[in-house]
Amino acid sequence: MQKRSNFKWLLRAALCLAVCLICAFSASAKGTAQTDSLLAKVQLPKVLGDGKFQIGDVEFNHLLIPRYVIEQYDDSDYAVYPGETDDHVTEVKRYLFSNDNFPKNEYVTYTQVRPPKADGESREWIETYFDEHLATLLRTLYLFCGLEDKEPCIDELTRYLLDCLPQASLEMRWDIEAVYKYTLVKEGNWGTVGRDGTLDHLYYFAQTDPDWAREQFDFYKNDPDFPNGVTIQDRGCGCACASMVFSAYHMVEITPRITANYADAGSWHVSYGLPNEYFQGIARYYYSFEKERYGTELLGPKILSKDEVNMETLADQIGNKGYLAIIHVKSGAFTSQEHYMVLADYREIDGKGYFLVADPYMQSSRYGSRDQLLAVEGSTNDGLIYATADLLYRDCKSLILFEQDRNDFPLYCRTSKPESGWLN
Amino acid sequence: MAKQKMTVRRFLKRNALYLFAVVAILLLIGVVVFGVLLVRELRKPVQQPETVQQTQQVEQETPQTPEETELPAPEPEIQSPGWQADGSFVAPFDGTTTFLVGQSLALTYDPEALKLTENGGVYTLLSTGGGSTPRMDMQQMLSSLDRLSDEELDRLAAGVLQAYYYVAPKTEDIVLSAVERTENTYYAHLDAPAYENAPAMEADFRLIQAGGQLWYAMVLLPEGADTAAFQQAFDNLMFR
Repeated sequence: MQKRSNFKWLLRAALCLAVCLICAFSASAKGTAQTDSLLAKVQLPKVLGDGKFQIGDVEFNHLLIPRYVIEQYDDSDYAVYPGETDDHVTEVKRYLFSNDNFPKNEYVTYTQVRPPKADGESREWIETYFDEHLATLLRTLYLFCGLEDKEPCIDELTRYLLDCLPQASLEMRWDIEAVYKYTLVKEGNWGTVGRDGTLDHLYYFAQTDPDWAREQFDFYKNDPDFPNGVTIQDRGCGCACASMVFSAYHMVEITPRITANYADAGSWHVSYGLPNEYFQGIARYYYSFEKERYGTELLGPKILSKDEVNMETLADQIGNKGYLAIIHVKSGAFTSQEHYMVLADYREIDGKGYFLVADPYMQSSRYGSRDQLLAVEGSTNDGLIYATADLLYRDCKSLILFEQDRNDFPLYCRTSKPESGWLN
Repeated sequence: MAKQKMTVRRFLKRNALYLFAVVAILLLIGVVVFGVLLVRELRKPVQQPETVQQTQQVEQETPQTPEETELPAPEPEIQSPGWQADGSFVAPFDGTTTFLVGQSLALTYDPEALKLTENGGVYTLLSTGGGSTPRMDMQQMLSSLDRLSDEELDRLAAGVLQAYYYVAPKTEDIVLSAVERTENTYYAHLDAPAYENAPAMEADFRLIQAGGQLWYAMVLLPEGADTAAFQQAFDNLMFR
């Protein structure tokens, strides 16, 4: 009895002493919050530095976050890096993709997220994947915040900076977005993201994409000749090609769903091909689609009959001048009827010249022959293939040529001075 | 059995195991606390001063009025600068004195060289010749010196300097030296590296507890600039 009471007394004394020590020790840990609250009240003018940085010849303004605020996040409980999958990536992508948060920005695109069409539908793996576009966006954000040395990752500091974005001015948000897109173009990483997370390095949309393949064109819905209707997969090659080209020149994702709606609205009947005037009409419609945001404009295309096409000239225009073309082909190597495809690039491989063809019907196994065709090495996109000029000219019916450099993305500053960007 | 008298020796013998357990726990806690404090000390970028900075006292002399008298004129009384017994204030040098904190904090400066402005509670000395630096700024902080640890004071010094920057250097890159703390004051000299279009910068920082309020004063000392008047005003801040 005596022993037990002694033990209890000693144990209580030790525990009390331990608690006192821990309290004394942890009291000093609260110091950071105290100093931060005092520093938040410091009202001093900015007289050191100028809040600007340079990209090429263009001067941009920083988004100002106080250093003591940044250093609050020095020890993050988590960090997710490019190439990894994580719920934090999903949260960030959904946050950036949401029109509620950023109705006038495209920080994250459709192909980076692949949102379900209806509530309750399962979401895709790509939404959890930290792709290279997201890494480039974060690098750009860090640059604007004066953190150019930070490696792109999703951690507490990055989440805080992203939370600061909505309260930045629209001009600042557009500056960040424009520099991000400009960087993608300069690094050759622009374009869509494949379902497996790999970059397409161009804007690629398939008429066979399950997201819209089954969607029908309105003007065939009551056509007795087509009791099952006509879907984008059936006849949407022209719309998919228009999507690829317009997305490239405006640097935003314009899906075949949108260009098909235009075909319906303008009654451009898609039979086994659209009338070529469809492309001129839709180009006019989207001429200044992103002029306010990016300063881009899309000029109307030139429509060339087969006789007017010189493949050597075309190779130079597409390979060296950055033009894009939509080729209208008849029955042959690529189709048994008629088909539209995009000529996205031209390069020499093993001493032989090839056009990079973006075929919106993603099923290369249907090509009758592999003669004069070459697989795109390193690409998992089944809609991309190299084809010789001779083969393309043989099957060519006409060409819709866009005489603009697809790599010419304008870079200029919209803000007049640095902005305070932190959540006070 | 007769109850044995509990001696110290018997107590120790009976409870040896429990005592051992308690001592072991206390030792473990002590080791952990010591280890953390040691790591903190090693990470501290503060360079401790070798000598204590002395505040210079300037004696103010009253001018003699030239008069013809038969008897020699009496020696002028030399008064120490600061608040006098009769409540008057003797400035540390010939200049303009502004009082803050209800006469508890005195800022004296040379009006030929510097001009004083106030904006939103921040008192600023700038050169009469123009320019945003060198400069001295003073502002109240809503705290008191005795509530702040040495580490927090160092952090405040760096943080106030960082507040001048559009994009500030990291705290770990700002070197504090000649740090001195008394019951009512804190002083540090700061060296910041060149960073993001801003040149390297030196600064002096002081916290003063006066009249129940805590005030900071920071003077920016850009290299090559004439900072004598600013340094004079900063060094001669007086309080009671």
